[in-house]
Amino acid sequence: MTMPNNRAVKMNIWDTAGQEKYRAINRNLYLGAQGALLCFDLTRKLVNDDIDLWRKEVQEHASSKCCIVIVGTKADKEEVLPETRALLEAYSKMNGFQFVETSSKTGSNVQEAFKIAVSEILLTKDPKKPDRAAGNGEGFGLVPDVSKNNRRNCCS
Amino acid sequence: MEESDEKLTKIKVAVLGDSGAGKSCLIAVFSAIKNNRTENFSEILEDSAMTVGNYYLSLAFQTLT
Repeated sequence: MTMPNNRAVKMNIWDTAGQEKYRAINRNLYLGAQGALLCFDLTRKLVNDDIDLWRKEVQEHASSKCCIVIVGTKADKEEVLPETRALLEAYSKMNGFQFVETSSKTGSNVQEAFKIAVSEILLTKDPKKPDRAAGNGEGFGLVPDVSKNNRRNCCS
Repeated sequence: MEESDEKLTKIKVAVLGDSGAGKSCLIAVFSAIKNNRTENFSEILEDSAMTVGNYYLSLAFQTLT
């Protein structure tokens, strides 16, 4: 994974409600999103249509060029279903998406998931500019002194 | 380091998935990592409640080699 380096980035991360009843509101949020992290609980049984549903949500309401990262969550749990993991992996491969397994409990791969999204977006935004980075993407440096951290309700 | 808004590459990322998939926790933990609070992930998970409506988190950073 390569990362265009030395770029000042401001990332607005939109946390959406997963319940069906909020779906219509959420669609307004996808508008203009350059990236989407589609999260799936690795301990739950999934079928292809479940993943397709979220992919279509993004591609129909954000943009067909929106960079999608498939995220398998709760990877630390013993109850992780191998079939769910395999399905997510196969789906990602088939559709050319990046797949990452994360654990919020241990923090494993959490930063990686966002790093992948940022890398893909930056490369999509500026495909002509060759990467100056050595290519390991290690530098997802979250330089503290340029950071602003505001969690806000969208209506406030 | 102060960066004017014009110099920033602005990115909008949406986090989606079924209810209970762990979206809010993922964002909260990412925010904690970014703020060098890496020892209290369990507390973050305990504090997490079901998301009603939508929220956003704004982070500014610089990619490095």
